[in-house]
Amino acid sequence: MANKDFLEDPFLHNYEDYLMSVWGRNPDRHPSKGPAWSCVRETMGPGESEGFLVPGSVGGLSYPSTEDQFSTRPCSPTPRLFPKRSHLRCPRPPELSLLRRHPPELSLLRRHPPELAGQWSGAQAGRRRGSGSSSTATAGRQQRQQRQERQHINSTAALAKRAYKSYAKALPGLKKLGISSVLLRKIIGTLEVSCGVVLTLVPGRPKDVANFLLLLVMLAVLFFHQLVGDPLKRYAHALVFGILLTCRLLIARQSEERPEREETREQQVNAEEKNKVKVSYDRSLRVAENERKKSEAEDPFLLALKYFSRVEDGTPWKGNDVLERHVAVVERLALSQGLPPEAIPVLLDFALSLRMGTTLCVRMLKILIPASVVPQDAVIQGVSWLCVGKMPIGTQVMFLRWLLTVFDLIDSKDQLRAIYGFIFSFVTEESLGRQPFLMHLLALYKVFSPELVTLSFPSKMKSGFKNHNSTWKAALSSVQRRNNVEVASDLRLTFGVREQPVSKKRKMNSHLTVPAVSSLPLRVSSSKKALPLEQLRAFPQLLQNLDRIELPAQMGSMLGSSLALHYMDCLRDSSAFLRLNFWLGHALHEEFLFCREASSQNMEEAARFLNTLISTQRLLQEGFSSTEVFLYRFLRVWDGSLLRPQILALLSDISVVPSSRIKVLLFEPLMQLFFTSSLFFKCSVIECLNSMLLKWLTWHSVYALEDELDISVSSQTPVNMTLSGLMDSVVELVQFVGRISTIGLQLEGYHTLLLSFTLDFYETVCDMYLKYDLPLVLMPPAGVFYPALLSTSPVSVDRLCHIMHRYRTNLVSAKRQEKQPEKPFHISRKTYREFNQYVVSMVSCLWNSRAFLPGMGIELGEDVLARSKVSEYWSTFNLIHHPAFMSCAIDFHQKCWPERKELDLNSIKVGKRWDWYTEFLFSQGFHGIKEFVQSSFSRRSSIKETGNDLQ
Amino acid sequence: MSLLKPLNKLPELNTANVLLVENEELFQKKLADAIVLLENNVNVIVRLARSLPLPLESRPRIDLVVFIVHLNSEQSLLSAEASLKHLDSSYFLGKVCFLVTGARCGTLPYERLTSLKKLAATLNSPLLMTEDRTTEGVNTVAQRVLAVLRVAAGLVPMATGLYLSSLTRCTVPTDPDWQNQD
Repeated sequence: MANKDFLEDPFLHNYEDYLMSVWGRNPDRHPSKGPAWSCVRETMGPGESEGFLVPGSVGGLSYPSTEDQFSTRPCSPTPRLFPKRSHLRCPRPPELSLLRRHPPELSLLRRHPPELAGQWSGAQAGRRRGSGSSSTATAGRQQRQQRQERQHINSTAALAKRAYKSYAKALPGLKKLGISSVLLRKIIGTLEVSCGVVLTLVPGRPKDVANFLLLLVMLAVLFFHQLVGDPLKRYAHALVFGILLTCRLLIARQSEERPEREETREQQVNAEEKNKVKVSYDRSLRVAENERKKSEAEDPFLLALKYFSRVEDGTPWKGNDVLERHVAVVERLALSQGLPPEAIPVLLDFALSLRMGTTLCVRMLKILIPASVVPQDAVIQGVSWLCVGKMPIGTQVMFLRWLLTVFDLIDSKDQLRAIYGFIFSFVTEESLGRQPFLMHLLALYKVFSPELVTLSFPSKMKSGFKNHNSTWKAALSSVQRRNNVEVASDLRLTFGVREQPVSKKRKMNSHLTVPAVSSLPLRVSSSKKALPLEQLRAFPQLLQNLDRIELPAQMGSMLGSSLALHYMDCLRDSSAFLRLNFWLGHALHEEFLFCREASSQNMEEAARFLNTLISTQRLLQEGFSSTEVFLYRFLRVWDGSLLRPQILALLSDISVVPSSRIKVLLFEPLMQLFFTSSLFFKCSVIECLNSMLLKWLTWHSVYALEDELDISVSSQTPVNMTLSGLMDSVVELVQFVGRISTIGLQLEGYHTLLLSFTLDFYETVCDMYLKYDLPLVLMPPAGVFYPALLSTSPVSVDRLCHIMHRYRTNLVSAKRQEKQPEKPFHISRKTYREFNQYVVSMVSCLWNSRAFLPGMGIELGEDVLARSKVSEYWSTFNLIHHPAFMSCAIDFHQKCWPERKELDLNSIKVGKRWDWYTEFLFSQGFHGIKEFVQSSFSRRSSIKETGNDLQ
Repeated sequence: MSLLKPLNKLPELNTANVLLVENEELFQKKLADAIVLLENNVNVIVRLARSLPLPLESRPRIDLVVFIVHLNSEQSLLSAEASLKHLDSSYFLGKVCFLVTGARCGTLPYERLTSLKKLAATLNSPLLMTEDRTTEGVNTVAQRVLAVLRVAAGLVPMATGLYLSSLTRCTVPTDPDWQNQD
């Protein structure tokens, strides 16, 4: 019974204490048992412990000397391990299993078994003999050991002597030369020692010489061993050492020989390719390659470049492993860091020369991602390959696309500009066909120089470039982001010239200072000195140099600068707007929202950009057409929360949408978002549509004065719109808002907030004729009017009154206008009728206490009203009993009759009190009611007459 | 296996049941958590399924079936199409809704979105775009699903699922100008 043994163990209680002290960490926690160490001491005594204690370190754990350990400061947990180890040496496996919790200690034990075994026996002996004799035993053992060692050394020396004697005998020639075995031994020994010293200490050539000599010695030794016929184990060490020396010598030699070697290897590679043999490098070449890697970082890529520059025409690509490997190297580098400028000409030349067929050309073009810039020569060379004419159309197009993608990265463009004529004739050539990706660009160039671009373009072309090169763009931007170089990224805006005169981007993108006109040398007269826009510092400077300002090469950079925008505003050059629109469309479509994940960083960047765009549009007071195109598309994939403030602000800036398309472009996507989204989204949509309407009306009022009603809404956009067109759009918009607000109010339980936003909208609508000169009066739908009239919030009722008052004013002046013969316009009778009905309802509800009676607007069935069990239902919505105003009425009641206990609101209606009450309401800030009452009730008792008057 | 019918179980008071069907099971859980956290007034029960049909024995009442389609996988769309066959036709009167993720990403095949839009349009169902990567996007879509669910479960007075779906159903623009993206 192992467990029983354990239980009977005299150290058991110590062991328990030990566990306590280790697990409990603090022995003081168990005051009844006392500290573990004292127990150990009692049992063993200091003398006993001495016998097996090894002062110093055991397996990396250092122990204090015995006396310290057993003194009164035993609290650190590490030394406590020690006595436990001594207990464990008792051959009792159950203890071990119990102690599995402490593996480090066990491993410590296992690491030194002989030592500990010795200690254990020593300890046993010491215990048996008593404390005094243990030191003698140790001394005796040491002596014995020393003697043994000496003997061993002596015997080894004798063996060596014998061996050398046998060598000398085996080679009789030595004896003749006068070399005895002793001399031979000494020569070899001296050589070994001296060469070894040189090899370790002296650098350079002597090292190699020493290495060589040692190698010779080793060979000689091996030779002797062989001669005598020794077994392998006798000379194995010499053999190994010899191999080591050989390797060292080889490696040292190889690093010197590298240049010649590489040449031979290249030849070898080429030769083998021709034979279509899979190349396998020999070992030493590989070693050499590794060596080279240390000195230079490039290697496999440079090899690949060399390969691509030298590979011969017609080399097969199928199953060509060398090619595959090189392409893989290039691909890896291109996609991770981008290709260095010097590599691009080589690779481009390789690809376009079609030396290995079209497939490889396409493949190579796909991975041609520059790290920083593209050398101009490479591009010119590439264009010259186009002339060779053996390239298929698809490849030509691919090259052109690549060229467009990296165009901003070309280091200089002076020579390229010289061959523009050729390029244009090439891209407009019939054989190439009409490439959609080129159309926008060509359209833009046609604005600049119609003589270069002979194609005609469809008038209805979408503004904004599409990204035809998204894979390249994505790879390029990721490479650039990784390299942290801001090379002409379309995503980033250069902010205003004043704020950042020399940004990094400008430096990289040196052509930003090159004026747009100078790209057409024919037009620039040498006398006219142009002033780049970015040199402008102040507004007066702008005014002085207005006629000789150059636009920047990248129109996007204008967005951030208010000076540039001021200039833009007075510019009558349509090409500038076209360029800006194209750039913007591209930036918005491809770079921002459609290609990106919605990470917070991206969205911050996008929000910043859109905010800049919004402020630009506000400054110019018109929306860019590319923004609109973007918005229409974005609305269809919008989730309703991404960048909501920006998107809605941009949406409110769009110019008048033709009524034929407004439904598809705007209303359908908005409806789908509106009815599934939250109340706040609904409110913000109504607000957005309100400001959209406001802008449309403002444009109209401005342009109507200028162009006698035949307005083009936005001077720079191709949308020309007649007055009736605009009116149709406005009608559509107002009706749409009427529809969605009616249903929205119903779905949201007539929420006051939504009602308030809706009334905001109708405040704009009711004044369309007088304020904005648009001959149009549109009444709110019943779904908006009655909820507002019967609303529980006094503000809504008050605003409704104000709106009705404005409607009345507009209608009255429209009526007057109608009678004048020179500017005839007509407002339909239906509108008057609607208005009258609303007024009747309002008056009968609020004023006359005749709500729900026949002919008073809202009518309800008798039985329904009876079921409501309200006795005087006709008076429940007058100014006294209306839920919105009841608190005012009670207030008034208390002020009138402060002494009265019971409330009788009906007494307010009697006599002069009614007038006082209305005065009281007006004084409470209900100006809408005041206006409504004063305008509608000029003759108090004759509301009917007011209605008739309007008809 | 018989079709899943919306009215084969009686409704409970102040309870709305929604079934989220997603083949990939990537987004379901997140959305379910968001929905449950958002709604306080009504007892919302969210059930998850990879595909339809549901097992016959324990079919609960389902007020709204939401199909989550990831545009980056063809399988997702196919699975949703296959599951649709197991729904009773009365579900398409405002009790089905589609969620689509990744619609904003231009690199995904546009035809998939178009075919999904056509599918949703023929079934008179709303198609909600989702930004599934951001918390804000998940919360927004949870809110929108809840808005549809409240109506579909009859918790909004004066509104029915059919009424709402006539307003929110997906439309495919017929103008070719806005259709082609390439």
